[in-house]
Amino acid sequence: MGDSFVVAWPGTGFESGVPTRISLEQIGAARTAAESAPIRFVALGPTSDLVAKELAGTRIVEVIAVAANVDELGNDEYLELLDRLVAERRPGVVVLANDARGRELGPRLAARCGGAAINDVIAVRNEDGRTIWSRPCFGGKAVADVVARRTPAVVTIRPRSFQAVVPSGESEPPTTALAGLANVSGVVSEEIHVADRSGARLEDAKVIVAGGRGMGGQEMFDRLTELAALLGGTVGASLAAVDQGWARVEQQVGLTGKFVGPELYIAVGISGASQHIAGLAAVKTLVAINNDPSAPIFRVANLGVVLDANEAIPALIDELRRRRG
Amino acid sequence: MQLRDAGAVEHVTVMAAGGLGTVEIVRKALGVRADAGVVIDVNELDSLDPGPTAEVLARAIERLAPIGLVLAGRQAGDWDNGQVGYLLGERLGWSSIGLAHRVWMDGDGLHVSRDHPRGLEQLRFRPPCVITITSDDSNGLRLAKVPDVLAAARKAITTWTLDDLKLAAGLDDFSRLEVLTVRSAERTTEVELLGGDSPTEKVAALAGRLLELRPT
Repeated sequence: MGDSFVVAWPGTGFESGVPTRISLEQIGAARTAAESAPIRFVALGPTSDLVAKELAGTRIVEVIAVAANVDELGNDEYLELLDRLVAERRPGVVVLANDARGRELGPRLAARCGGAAINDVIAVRNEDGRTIWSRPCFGGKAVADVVARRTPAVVTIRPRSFQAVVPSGESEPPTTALAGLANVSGVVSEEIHVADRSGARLEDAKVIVAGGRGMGGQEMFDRLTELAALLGGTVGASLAAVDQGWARVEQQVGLTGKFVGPELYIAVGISGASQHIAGLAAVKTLVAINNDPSAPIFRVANLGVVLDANEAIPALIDELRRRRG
Repeated sequence: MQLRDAGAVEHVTVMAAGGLGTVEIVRKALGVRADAGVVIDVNELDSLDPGPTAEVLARAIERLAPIGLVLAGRQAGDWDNGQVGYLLGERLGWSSIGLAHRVWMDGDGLHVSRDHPRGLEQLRFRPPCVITITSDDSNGLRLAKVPDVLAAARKAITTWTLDDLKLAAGLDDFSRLEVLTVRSAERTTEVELLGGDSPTEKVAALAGRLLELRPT
């Protein structure tokens, strides 16, 4: 197998020019898949010298930095650029993050360069000379083991599914600067509405308090913010709560939202549809508050209490305040 | 249908590929006044590989009169791969825009608002283009009117087979993945339910445990 590419972009793979845990997890996945093959880090967007420094000792042999802003250009231009890079360097594996951009770039890049795309990978292993990728399917109810029939395998990995590499700080990889491209398509970005980042990003949060349909209304849903603040957490939501308009789409946890891995996840008035549970694979302790003792959430929770959210939340907030004094 | 109402498109064809039930899906769309329906009668798409699905749809779209815009689902029809729309765009040589919440037209042209790693992004685009649509308040199916449903029931639906699409030799050439196994992923835990004679007792027990579980 040839080299591997790890492709990262701002907001997901690096922040302020520094690699995030998500891109360190991508490197972890590439290391498992490629065994001893060299790994190159492709940074789509402005980086600082820090990227190469932060990647020292992670088996990255080269940082390829595209000196342009991916937000100003767009996926079509970066696709063209990645396609050229793949044609030139012929990697065996290309690892992307499974966010909104990765889910689009992966299949499009694979189609363009004759490879095979596998989205939302949660595990990889090598067996009998073949690389086997595992991905959830059927709304998270099953996991499929698949093998790419073409090269490269272009995979997007689910956050919190792979061990992040720990840079040793030794042997900083060289950086190759690459020019960006002028607009090549009829798609032009006009405006980016950056989501409200009060509190930690859901993907990075150590505590998440998430509400679902059982919250009953906007007013009670909003009280989750108080509860989250008392526990040092961030507010998440189920698809049902987003559909009701109580929560913003970027707060949605689950198959069609964010994949999270906090130490403590408190599901309030969430029934536990498999699409929601699919986003919780890396949660350490799952606490469920629901008035229906037969709700599926209790089958995957570690700790549960059968109570109506409208009764439990105000009382819990009062109790936590009282204990804090 | 919103784009047709706004004059952004002239003609809406609803296309579905699959086995049993496909005709009913297309008929339902005709019931909200889509202009034409096409069914591709094929059972072989029931696999976990999105490549053949994209090829079948691409050939069918090429057979229709010039098409400027394809709106596809985000992933449900391809077993959560979330690939068919993008593969279709590449196969047709068009741009694709993923995970769109809303598509609209104003004096400036066509726009789309879609998921972005840092929130939402608004784009301007020129057809031809494939857009995958994610669920949003603004794009639920409108209610059908009884006369339209009755008219739809009598409307002819074009049906094509793999043979019509010159794919009788099979779809294997378009497959890029080999699926080894599919196993159940349902995890279950032994849940510890907090008891108590009253809600107050339960809440007190819960508060204590949450403070213990909270990472420091």
